[in-house]
Amino acid sequence: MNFTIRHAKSCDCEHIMRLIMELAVYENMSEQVKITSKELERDGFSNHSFFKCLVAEVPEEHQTKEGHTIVGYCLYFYTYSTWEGRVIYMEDLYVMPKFRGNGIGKAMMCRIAQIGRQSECARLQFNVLNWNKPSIEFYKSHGALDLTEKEGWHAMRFEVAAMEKLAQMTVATCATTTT
Amino acid sequence: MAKYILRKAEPKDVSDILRLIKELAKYEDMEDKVVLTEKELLEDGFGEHPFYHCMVAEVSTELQTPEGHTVVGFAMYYFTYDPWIGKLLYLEDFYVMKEYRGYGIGSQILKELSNTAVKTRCSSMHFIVAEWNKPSIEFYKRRGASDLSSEEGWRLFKIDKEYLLKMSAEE
Repeated sequence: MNFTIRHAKSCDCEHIMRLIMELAVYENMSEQVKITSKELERDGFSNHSFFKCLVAEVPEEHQTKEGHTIVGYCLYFYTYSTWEGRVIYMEDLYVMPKFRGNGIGKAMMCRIAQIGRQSECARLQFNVLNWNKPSIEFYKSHGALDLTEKEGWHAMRFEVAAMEKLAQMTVATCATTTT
Repeated sequence: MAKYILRKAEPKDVSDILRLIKELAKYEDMEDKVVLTEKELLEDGFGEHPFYHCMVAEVSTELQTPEGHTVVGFAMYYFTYDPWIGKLLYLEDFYVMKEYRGYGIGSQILKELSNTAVKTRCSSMHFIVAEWNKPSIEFYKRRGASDLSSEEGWRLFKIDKEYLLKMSAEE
C-alpha cells in the first residue's frame, strides 16, 4: 500500500485529535484525554510550539469508511540529557489497526531517527506500557533497550494539586530567590 | 546557615553545572556515562534555541566549598507535551551537594519549579528516579509524587545512536 509521511500542518489537528483518542482507547485510558484540537493547534502550530508531529497519509482509494486519509501519527519533541546532550523524544506513535502491517509505523520511526540525527541527538527516548507486548517487541527489534528493567528507572509525576501545594509551601530556610 | 540565593543559570555557570552533573552521576554510579562538554551545555542552554532551562543555588563566599565553589546545587528542566493533558514541566536533574543538604535548599528549588510549572500552565511535573534511590523516592512521595512505573506500568526505553543511524539509512 502506498503512503506518505509528512510533517503535520495546523489543519491536520482534528485528525491528530481523532487518532490520539483512538490510541488512548487502545491503552484503556480514554477518560484521561482532556485536550481539544484547538489546544493542540495552539500548542503545536503557533510561534512557540511545544511539540512537532508527523502524519501518515494514504491515497484516496485507500481512505477509511469515514473518508479519512490520515491513518497514523507520531508526536515528538526535544529533551535534554545531562549525560549526553540533545535527545529526541517520541511521545506518541500510532497507526490505525486496519493500516498496520504496511511498514507505516516503522517508516515514521525511521523518519524520527533521521530528524534526530540531523539535529545531533544522542538518542531517541520514549515510554511504553508494560502490557503492550507487540509494541515492546517492535521497538526491541530495532535496538531499543528497556531502561526500567535494565537500570531501574521509574517514571514519576507531581499532579496539579501536589504542584500547587509545593508552590505555596513555606520553606523554613534562608533562601532569597532572584529568578 | 547564612543566606543563599536561587537564580536563573547564566552562561558563566556552565562549568559549575557540569561539575554538579558529574557529582550527581557519580552518586548514581554512572559517572563514566557523562560525555557532555561545557561547550555543548553552553550552546544548548544559552544559544538561539535553548534545549533546557536551569536554576542554580549559590551560597555566600564565606560558605564556599574547600575548592572555592559557591554554586552548590542546580535543577535542570524543560517543557514537554502530553497529548492528553497538554504542557508539562520535565525535571531532568535536581541536585544539592552533600555538605549543603538539610538547610531547605532542595525544598526551595522544588517550590520554585512548582511555581514555574503552575504559572506556565503545566498540567503536571514529570521526572525519573532510579528505584534503588530510596531517599529521593521518599522525598518526592512525601510531597505528593506518584510512581507511574509502579502504578500504571510505564517503562522507559531508549534507542542509541548506532541504531538511529541504521534506521536513518533505512527509509
